[in-house]
Amino acid sequence: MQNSYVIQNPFGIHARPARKIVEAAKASKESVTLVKDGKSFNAKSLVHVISVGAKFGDSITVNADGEQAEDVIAAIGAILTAVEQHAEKEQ
Amino acid sequence: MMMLQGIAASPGYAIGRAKVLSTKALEIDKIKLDSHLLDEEVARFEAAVAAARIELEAVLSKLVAQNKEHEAEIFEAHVMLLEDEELIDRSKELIKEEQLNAEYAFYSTSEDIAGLISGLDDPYLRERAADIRDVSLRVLNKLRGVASASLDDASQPIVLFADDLAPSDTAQLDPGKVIGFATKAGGRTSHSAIIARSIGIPAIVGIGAALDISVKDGQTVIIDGSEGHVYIDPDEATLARYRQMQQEQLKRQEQYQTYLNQPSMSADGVQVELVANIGSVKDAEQAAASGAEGIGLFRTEFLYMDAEELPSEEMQFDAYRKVAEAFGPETPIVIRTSDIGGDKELAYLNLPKEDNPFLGYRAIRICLDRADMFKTQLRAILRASAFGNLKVMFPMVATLGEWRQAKSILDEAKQELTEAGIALNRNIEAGIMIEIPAAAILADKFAKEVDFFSIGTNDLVQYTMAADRMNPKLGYLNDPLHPAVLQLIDRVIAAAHANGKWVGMCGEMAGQKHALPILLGLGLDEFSMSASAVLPARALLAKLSKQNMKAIAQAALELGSAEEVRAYIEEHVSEIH
Repeated sequence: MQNSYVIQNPFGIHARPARKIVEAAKASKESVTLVKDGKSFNAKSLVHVISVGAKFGDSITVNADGEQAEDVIAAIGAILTAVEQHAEKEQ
Repeated sequence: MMMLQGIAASPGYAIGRAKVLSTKALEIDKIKLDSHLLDEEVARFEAAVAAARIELEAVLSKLVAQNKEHEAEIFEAHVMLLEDEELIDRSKELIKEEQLNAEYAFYSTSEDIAGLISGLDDPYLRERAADIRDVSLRVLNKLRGVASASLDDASQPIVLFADDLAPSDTAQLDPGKVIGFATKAGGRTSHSAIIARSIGIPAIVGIGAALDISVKDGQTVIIDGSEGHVYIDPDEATLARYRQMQQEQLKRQEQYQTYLNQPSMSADGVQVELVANIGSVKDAEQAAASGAEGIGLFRTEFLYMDAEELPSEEMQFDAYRKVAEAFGPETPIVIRTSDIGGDKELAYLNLPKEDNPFLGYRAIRICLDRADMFKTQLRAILRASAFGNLKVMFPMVATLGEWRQAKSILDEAKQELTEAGIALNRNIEAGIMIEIPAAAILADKFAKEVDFFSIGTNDLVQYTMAADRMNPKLGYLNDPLHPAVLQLIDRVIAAAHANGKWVGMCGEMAGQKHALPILLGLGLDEFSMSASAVLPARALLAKLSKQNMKAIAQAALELGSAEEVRAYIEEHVSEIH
């Protein structure tokens, strides 16, 4: 099953939300993917989630299978649509 | 013992172990393995990953114990990378399916992913490619049995040797670990030199090819950043001499430290502002720790130069706000709009090559021509003005028309943000840099309209003397103590004060010991300099009487050459010794 979300974080999906997505995806035993512009990325891999390069306003589709699919998709959807108030202190 | 001569880029002495940063590409052989060796190869790879992980976790727990959360986060992310399916599992697949050696399988996998990430639009995300390469190198070193020599976990302070350091490399230097550096390339005004001065570590640049063959990892070295000397494997006498000099320097610094939380006040009780010049968010934190009372110049072009395209409003807003937050809401922070062009080229703007870039299409001249780009920056500054006492400053203004045009774009940006209901400080101060003699001469006209001036002496001197400051043959002309320059400065300060406006200075001159007495006497209100110059300046200021310096300054204005001014100050202002 799948669901699509529009990124609400003005800073896009940076390292911190990316890490949360990986943690959420790892709750599922099956594969979980993020699809942007027809390209598919492994949601259990931090480097892949970062490679999506998701920015504010981008549309992302989350795909998951298995029993927990619905929960996993909802959890990732919540991260994608969260509005982070503070910029990350990355650099 | 061997001595190499370079360009003295940042003063001070460092004695320590050499660490040579090789910029040569890694050579990874691609080896086809027999199928019966594959399981063993996967096991070897797993062992290397585990060893790298142990190393990272050791650094991590040390950082956590020191409450260095910011640094710790980087290592947490690195540990996470070592568990990454696409990085680690994919490498194992390559070993098994393609029968490849672990080094090549892992290297090619991580390079593929790093390449993918470095192609992203977002500059913050692109930085993560460096993390992947960093982790990748650590694992490769384990595979090849080389001890990992990352700067982050250096147990002893090191002296860094490299071909050159990119601005982003130098910005990440931790003065606690890297006590000095020497590079093959670069000049006194190259970015690495400026950053070394701002974080206060000794540096030597422009040593040339001799560096390659002379220094090896682990050798004892001395860096004399005041004279530009590098000693490799020094003899006992030289070591003793430098230890002595280091002691004296340390003693002076300890004396300076007593001025850390003192007001910047002259001996006769006149207070001025001693603030710092910065080029990045990290510099702001350093400046705050070095006793600066604010920022007199935030060079925003670093945001443009570190990127491969125009920085977005969000990204700029983020940087300006972080600088404001490094100091607190009351502290003045002067943000200079982009001073690009000239010697600071940006590939993505496609600026044509010019014969005289310093007299060409640069700074405000580009901004007024590309109002879209300019307005993006002004919007970001205005949005950040809700978080601190920001002031906006336009560089390279020659005419009143340019100032008025810039001001009207600023007003438009204010209007747009207000209509969109976005918080900002509508009364943000707006001023100009005085770098062009025409603006200095007409300072009385500008003073009626601007909120402040900041005198940019590096450019003001080169334009007044018609001497390219990058040309080493013309060094004798680039002296801010020349009376022609001093008279322009006097004129600017007088014009501003007659109109109730304040004047700062953000060239290197503001922190120089021969200039400070004159500037104090002329009535300068704000002195902006490298962060490391703030405390020595405050210590000197405390010894000077403003009343006495007025007479000194007037006398200096009447002299005929920079040499005479310097000699006059040497003789009549004993406090500088």
